[in-house]
Amino acid sequence: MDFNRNNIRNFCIIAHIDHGKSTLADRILELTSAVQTRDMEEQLLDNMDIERERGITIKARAVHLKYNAKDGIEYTFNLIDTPGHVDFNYEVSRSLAACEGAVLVVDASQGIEAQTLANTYLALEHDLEIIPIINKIDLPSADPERVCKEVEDIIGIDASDAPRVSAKMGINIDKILEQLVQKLPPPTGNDDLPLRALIFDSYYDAYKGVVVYIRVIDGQVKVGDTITMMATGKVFSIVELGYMCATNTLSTDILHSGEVGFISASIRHIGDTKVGDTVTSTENPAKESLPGYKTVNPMVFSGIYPIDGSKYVDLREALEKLQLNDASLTFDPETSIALGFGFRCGFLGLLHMEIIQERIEREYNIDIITTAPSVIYRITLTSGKIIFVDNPTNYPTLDKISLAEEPVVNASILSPSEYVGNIMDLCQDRRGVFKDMSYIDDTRVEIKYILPLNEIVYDFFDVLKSRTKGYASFDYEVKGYSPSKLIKLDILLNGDIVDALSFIVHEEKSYARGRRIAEKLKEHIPRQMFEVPIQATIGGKIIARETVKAMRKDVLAKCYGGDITRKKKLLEKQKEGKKKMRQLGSVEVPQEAFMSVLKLD
Amino acid sequence: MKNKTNLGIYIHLPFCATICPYCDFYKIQYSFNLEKKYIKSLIKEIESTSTYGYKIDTIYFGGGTPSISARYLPQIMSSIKKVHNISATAEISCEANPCSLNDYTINFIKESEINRLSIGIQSFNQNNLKSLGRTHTNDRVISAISKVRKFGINNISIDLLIGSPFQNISDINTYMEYIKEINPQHLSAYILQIEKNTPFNNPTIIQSIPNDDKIYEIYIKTVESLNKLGLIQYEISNFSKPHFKSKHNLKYWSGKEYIGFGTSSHSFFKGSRYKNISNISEYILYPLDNKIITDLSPNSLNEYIIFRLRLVTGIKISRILPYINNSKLFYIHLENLKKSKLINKFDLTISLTPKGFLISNQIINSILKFIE
Repeated sequence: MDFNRNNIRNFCIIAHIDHGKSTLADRILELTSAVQTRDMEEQLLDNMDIERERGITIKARAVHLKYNAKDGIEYTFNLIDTPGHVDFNYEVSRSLAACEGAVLVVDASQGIEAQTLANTYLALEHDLEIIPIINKIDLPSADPERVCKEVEDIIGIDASDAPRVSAKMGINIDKILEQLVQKLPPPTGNDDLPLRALIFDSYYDAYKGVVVYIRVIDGQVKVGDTITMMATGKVFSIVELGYMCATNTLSTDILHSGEVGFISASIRHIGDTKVGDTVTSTENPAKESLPGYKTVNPMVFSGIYPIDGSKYVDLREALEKLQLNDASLTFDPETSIALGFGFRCGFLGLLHMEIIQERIEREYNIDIITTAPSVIYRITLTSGKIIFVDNPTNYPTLDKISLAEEPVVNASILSPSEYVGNIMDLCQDRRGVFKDMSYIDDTRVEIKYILPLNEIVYDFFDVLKSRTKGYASFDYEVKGYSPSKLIKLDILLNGDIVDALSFIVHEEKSYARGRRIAEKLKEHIPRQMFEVPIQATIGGKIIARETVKAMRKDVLAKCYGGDITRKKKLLEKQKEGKKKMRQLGSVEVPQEAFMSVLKLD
Repeated sequence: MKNKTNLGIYIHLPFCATICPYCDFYKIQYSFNLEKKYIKSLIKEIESTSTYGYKIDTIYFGGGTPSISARYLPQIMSSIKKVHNISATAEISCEANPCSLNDYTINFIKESEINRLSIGIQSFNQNNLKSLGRTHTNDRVISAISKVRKFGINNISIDLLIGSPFQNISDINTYMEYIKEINPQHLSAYILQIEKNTPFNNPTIIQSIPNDDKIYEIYIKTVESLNKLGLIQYEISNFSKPHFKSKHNLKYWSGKEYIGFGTSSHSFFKGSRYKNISNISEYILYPLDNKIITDLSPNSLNEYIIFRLRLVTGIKISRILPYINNSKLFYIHLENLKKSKLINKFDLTISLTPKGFLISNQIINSILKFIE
C-alpha cells in the first residue's frame, strides 16, 4: 500500500481521572473495527488488572486504527493513550510530543478538574490541536452547556461544536472521529532527513526483549537498520518493526516520518531505552536529538520488606521484573533491625508507590510490609559536603548539619468554593504557603499553594477528599528544594529504637507527630506477657510516652473429657498468629502497627 | 497378670433437662426413647472393646447430665465390669446436677459403686445463676449434698464459673461462705469462655461479662480464698484437699491413657488420639465405627509442655533442655518471666504462678518457640 502521510492522524485522549477516557478509547476501537465486539474486554487499553480496577491508565500505550471517513478516504489513526496522573507527568509529556492533537474529555456533570487543566496546559505547550468533547451526557446530572462554557472560559478554546457524547452508551462517537479527520493536521515530516524517532513508551516482552514505542519525526527506519539511542549511546540492530493494533501486532518493513509504531531490536535492559530519548541511524546520525529529554528521578521513597524473611529473593525478582517495564522504579538493598532484609525503593509519586506495592502483592504473591514514605532531603553538612537522604535512618545528627532542605511542590486544588476554608486550613496545617486563588466560575475556585512534599506523601489526598466531601481535585508538580527546620523522630519500644518507625519531620510538628504515633502504636500493639513502654524521642529526649499494659488473661480451654486436641489447636492457631508479628527484642509487633503510623488522620 | 498398665474410662451421657446457653459440649435435649436406644449402643461399644492387658483405675461419667440418666448407671457399670478389669480402689466419678439429685437417683448412683460426685453449681449468686440458665437454688444445693453424704458418698467436687455475666469480685466472699459450709473435697473453677456456636455469643452477654482485668482480680482472689479454706490449687482450674486430686482428670494433663465410650467421647488409647462422632443418631446406628483420629503426633514433647504446665508441679527443665536451641536466651527469658511473677522460682522445674496460669498460652508458646 502506498504511504500517504496526509491520511494519518496521531492523537491522544486527555482527561481527569474518572471522566471516561478509557471507555471512550474502547468505543473508538469498536467503531474503527479494530476489535470485534466479541474480543472486547472492558477497557482494552488498560491491560493491567490494577488499571482496570482503579480506572486509571498507568502506562502509555499506542494503538493503530483504520477509519473510513465520510469523505470516502481510509485514514490511519494512532491513538496514544496517556497516563492521567501527575506522578507520570513526564511520560504524559512524551506521549503528547508524539501527537498532533488531543481529544479533551470533560465530564458533563463534574466539569473541569485539576488534572484536566494540568494535562490541557501540557498539551497546549506542545502546540497540540485540542478537540474538546463533553462526555457522560447520559447522566441525569449532566449539564453540557455549562461545561462547554467552562471550557471556553477557563481554558479559552472554542467549544461551540464540541461533540456531546456518552462513551458508555456509544452516543455520538462518530462525531469525534469525523472531527479528528477534519480538525487535526496530518503529521509533517521528511523521509530524506537523518532518522529521528521519539521513544514515548516501552515494555518488556519475554521473547522479544524490550519493545519500544516510537514516533518517527524525521527520516525513515527499516528492518535490519542499525540504530543508536542518543541519550544512552546504546546501539542495536532492528529485528522487527510494526504497528500495535488493538488485539494483535502488524509487522512492516519500514516506518516513515509521521508514523507511530514499535521497534524490536533484541534489547535486554529497559534502562537502555529511556522514554524521551531519540532513536537515530548509526550510519547517518542526526546532529541533534529531539528536545525535551530528561531523566526522571524518583521523588518518594519507602522501604519494602517481605513479611516472610525467606521471600527476600522472590521480592528482589519481583522488583527486577517490575523494573523491566518501569524504568522509573528504583530499588537498593536495605537492612532494618526491625524488619530484616528488604529494599529501599524510589517512586515517581504516591500513586506510583501504591501501584508497585499492590503489584508485588498481587502479581507476585509476596506479602510485604512497607515503611512510611519519605522524600529525598538535601543536607549540607558542616563539612560543606552535600548529601541526599532518602531514609530517615541515615539522617545525620543535628550537630553535623549546616543546612537542611526539603522538596516542595506547586500544588493546585480545584474545588467548589464552599470548601475553601477547609482546604486552606488543611494546607496551612501542612505548612503550605498560599500563592493564589481564582474563581473559575461562579461556584468553583482554583487554589494554589506551595507545599512541602513530605506533607503530602502521607495522607494529604485522603484528607483533602474527606474535607471536601470528595469534590476537590488535586495536582502538583515538583518546584525544587527549600530550607527547612527538620528533625529526626525516633520511636522506642521497650527501650530500643525501632529503625523502621523513624521519621523526619518539621520541628513544629514533631511533638504532635510523636504523640500521635505513640498513641497509634498503643492501639495496634496487643497486650503481651510483659508491659511494653512506647516512647517517641528527639535526639534522645523523650517527647511522648504510652504503655501497653501486660496481658492479664488468655483463652483457657477446659480440656473437657480428654479433648486435648482442641487445646493444642488453639495454641497452634495462636502461634500462627504470632508468625505474622515481628519480634523486636521481647516485643511482638503486628504488621498493622507499622502500617498504622502511615495514616495519622 | 503383673504390671498391668493403668487406664481410665470416660463414659459420655449427653442428655440434659435444660440446655445451658454457654455450654459448648455435645449435649442433647432429654428424650426417653432416644436415651433408651443410646444406652443400648453405648453398652454395645463398651462390651465390644477390648482393654486386655490394662487395669482400669478411674471411671468418669460425664455429660450432658449423667445424673438424669442415673437409672441406667448400674447397667452400664456392670457391662464395664463384664469385659474390663476394674481395680478395687478405682476412682469412679459422676457428674451431677443438683436438681436431679434425689433419693431415687442417688440410690442408682450408690448401686453403681460411684464414689465421687462432681456437682455443677456454677455460682452461688441467684441472679448470676439465672443468667446462666441454671434452675437450682443454693438451698437445693446444700440439701442435695448432705443427702449424698448420707448415702455414704463422701468425695464431693463442685464446679464454679469465673467470669459469668455481672459477676463481681465481692461475689467471691459469698461463694466462700457457701463453700465453707459445703466443705467439698475438690473444686473446679473454670473461666467462662464465650464459644462461637452458643446463645451466649451475643453482644449483650459479651458486654455483661467482666473484662480481662476484672477476671484477673476475681481469679486471683478465688485462688487465694480457696487456699485459705484448705482447697489447694493443683491445676489452672482445679483445687483439692490433700489426697483428693481428680485422678481421672490428672490423666489428661499428664499424658496417661484413657478410653472414651459414647458419642463425642475422646480417647488416648494404645498411643493414638481419636474421638467418637459427635452425632447421636449416627452413633446409635454404628457405635463401633465413626472414630476419627484427632491428632497425628500424640504425646510429643510439645504436649508435655502444653499440658504439664497446667499443673502446679510444672515441667522438668532436664526433660526439655536438650531440645532448647539457645539455652542462654532461654534462661534470660525464664528470668524475665520470673521477674514479672508469671513463673515460680525455677531450679529443676518450671511452674506457673496463678498470674502465669491466666496467660498460660502466651507463656507456653514463648517456651515452645525455643524448641522449633
